[in-house]
Amino acid sequence: MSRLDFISLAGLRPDGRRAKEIRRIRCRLGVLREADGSAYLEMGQTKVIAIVKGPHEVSRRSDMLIDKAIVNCEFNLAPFAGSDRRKRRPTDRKTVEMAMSIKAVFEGAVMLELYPRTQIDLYIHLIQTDGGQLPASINAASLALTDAGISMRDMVVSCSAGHVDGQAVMDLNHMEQSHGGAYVPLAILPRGSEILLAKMEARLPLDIFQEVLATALEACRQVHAIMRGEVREHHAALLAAQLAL
Amino acid sequence: MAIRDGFTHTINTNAFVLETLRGGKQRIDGRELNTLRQIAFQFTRSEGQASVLVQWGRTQTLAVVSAEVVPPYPDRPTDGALMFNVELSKMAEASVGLLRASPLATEITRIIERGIRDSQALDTETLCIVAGEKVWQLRVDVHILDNGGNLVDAAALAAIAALQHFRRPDVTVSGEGFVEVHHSDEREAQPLALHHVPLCITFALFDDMGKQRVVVDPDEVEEAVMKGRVTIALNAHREVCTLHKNGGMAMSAETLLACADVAAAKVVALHERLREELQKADAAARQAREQRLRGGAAFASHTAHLASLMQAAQPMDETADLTRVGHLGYDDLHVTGKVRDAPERALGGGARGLQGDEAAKSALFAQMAKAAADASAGLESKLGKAPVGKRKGKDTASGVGDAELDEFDKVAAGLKQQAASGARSLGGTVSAPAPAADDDAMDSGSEEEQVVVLKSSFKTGNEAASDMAAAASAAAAKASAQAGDSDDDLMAAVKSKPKGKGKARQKK
Repeated sequence: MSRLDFISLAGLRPDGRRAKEIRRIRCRLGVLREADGSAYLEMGQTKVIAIVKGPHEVSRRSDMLIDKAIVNCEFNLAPFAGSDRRKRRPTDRKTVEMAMSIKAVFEGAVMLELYPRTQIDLYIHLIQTDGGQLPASINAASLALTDAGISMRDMVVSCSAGHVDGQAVMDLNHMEQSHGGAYVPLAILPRGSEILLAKMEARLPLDIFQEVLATALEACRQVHAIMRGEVREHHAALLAAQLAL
Repeated sequence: MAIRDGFTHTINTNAFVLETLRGGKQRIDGRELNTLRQIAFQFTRSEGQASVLVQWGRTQTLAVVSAEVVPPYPDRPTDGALMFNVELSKMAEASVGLLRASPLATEITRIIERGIRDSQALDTETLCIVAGEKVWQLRVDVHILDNGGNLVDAAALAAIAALQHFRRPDVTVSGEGFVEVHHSDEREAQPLALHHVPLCITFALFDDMGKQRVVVDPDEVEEAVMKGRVTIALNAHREVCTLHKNGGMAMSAETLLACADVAAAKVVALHERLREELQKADAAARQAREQRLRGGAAFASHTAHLASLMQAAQPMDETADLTRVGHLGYDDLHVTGKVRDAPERALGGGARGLQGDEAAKSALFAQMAKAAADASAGLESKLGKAPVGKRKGKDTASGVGDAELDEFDKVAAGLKQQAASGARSLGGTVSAPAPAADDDAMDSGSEEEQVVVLKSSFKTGNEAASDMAAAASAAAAKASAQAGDSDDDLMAAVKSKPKGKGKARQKK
């Protein structure tokens, strides 16, 4: 494999971005009428659909909590999503890990005490992947929960950061993520910049890790600005439609 | 105790833990906020497998590493495989309420995978045997035996310790691509090529009415009360290998970085501790292997002998007799002859004794004793001087001291007794060895004395003492291979002095 410059001499990455630029984000709320809440999100070439069902009665009585809601998450990576067509088992380790991460994140963000004895289901469908599966899924789920009207402490925003060619970069695509360097997906509550999820693969010296963490935080803030704008637009349109009636 | 006093999570417990943490100094088990619990290790090594039992406070984890030769993945023909699996046993589940095994086990497995495999701790290319055809597949199974809190750290520590303790069997690849895996008895097994040692440290986050409190290494009570958790894995070079914060209570970036700093310090100390334990365990494993290879009882007495000699050699100061330095002879450093391929082996308690029938064995013993007697008697009359071993109190050129000679005599006496008892038990006869003049020559270790004499005829006085040790093997070899004996002079001497032989016979 020929050596690829992840950051060229001009400071551009292969897809034309600079080190501290996130990919284009497009999102839509309420894309499915049947679901309680739904959202479609694109981060570059990574495309996700998130569906929320709930709060509804707990399907398994034994799981019910009397003071809180429980959050369930199901993560599906479509067989056609990656470059190889591969059908993954639902118990595949990485799938289970993703689902558990998303569930844990929203258990920390949703005000579960307001919905006791109920269950909130999250279904995440990844239909195209180009790096950043976890951040995209979390963002889509966040929008879907907003669309469902479920109370949260704050909107959860997520983005990734990494370290390529000696520079900290934001929002890694598939090539940058899989080249073996550091990859740090981060999910925060933007108001207080509180970290809900932070993971890392590969090795980084501690001081470089600080830089990468700061980059990831900044990336999340940029994502938040875009997502908040979209949510406002969506609800403004809804409000206008209601008032027009 | 059949039923453990389980810990029940109540409002009171919650309040108690949080109140203790408010004090800012201690936790409910008396530890400080940044102190890890006591950790103990137990290492085991066997053929193609290694295991470590880690006791971390009340948490117990067992990691087992095993290896297999398999074809590689098609897209990575030169890489071996490293697989992890963490299992929560029923013992762990029963001890603390509900532990839904699979998601937690999966989470711990993924943390360990990311920490060890994804951070390139083990160079999988070194596991390649034949590119594209055969590679090593290492499998690390971690069993959580008891849950006393903080399973992640204990499991990760057990996994990496087991990988460090593991020895991969040596292989040879023949021209046609045929791979032969050697038993570790034939060829010493190799350690794995680990670039660095990642170790996990977990922090617990508590919500004390809005204020966040952080402690290191939560035990099971603190785990039930905590609202969030973050695991950071680092190596001793202050490199972050993996980070795992999966939901739970939110934390600020400053807190996260502060935790990373604390974790870095803890990892350095833990790494040092692990290194010491591994060295001890490796030494013990090697010694066990040596013992197994060379035979039990003989080696045990030999090591005791060696140890006593070593002790006698210290301290090394000006006033010490410098001649005592050279007392370590060939036999002190090797346990050959006595136990290897020697008829006496059956007596020495070695694992591999003679496989012949009893009659052959007894005949052999008789031959040995006879030859030894003949040779010494013949030589003595020929050379007309006392056996070398009789140089008690005389400082020989090679610097053998008194004490060492006595020690050697005792060992020789023991062996002689064993030979005699062995021959008797097999129903054979032993012709009593009968060297000449001196009385004390007859006593303790007379057979050995004769053996010493045997060698001395072919070596100068300088080498005599150092050859004392070789004499034991030499005697046996000579006795059992008379026909092909290269010491023709000796046999000629023996054959030419029938009179001396008869005279010696008469004495006993």
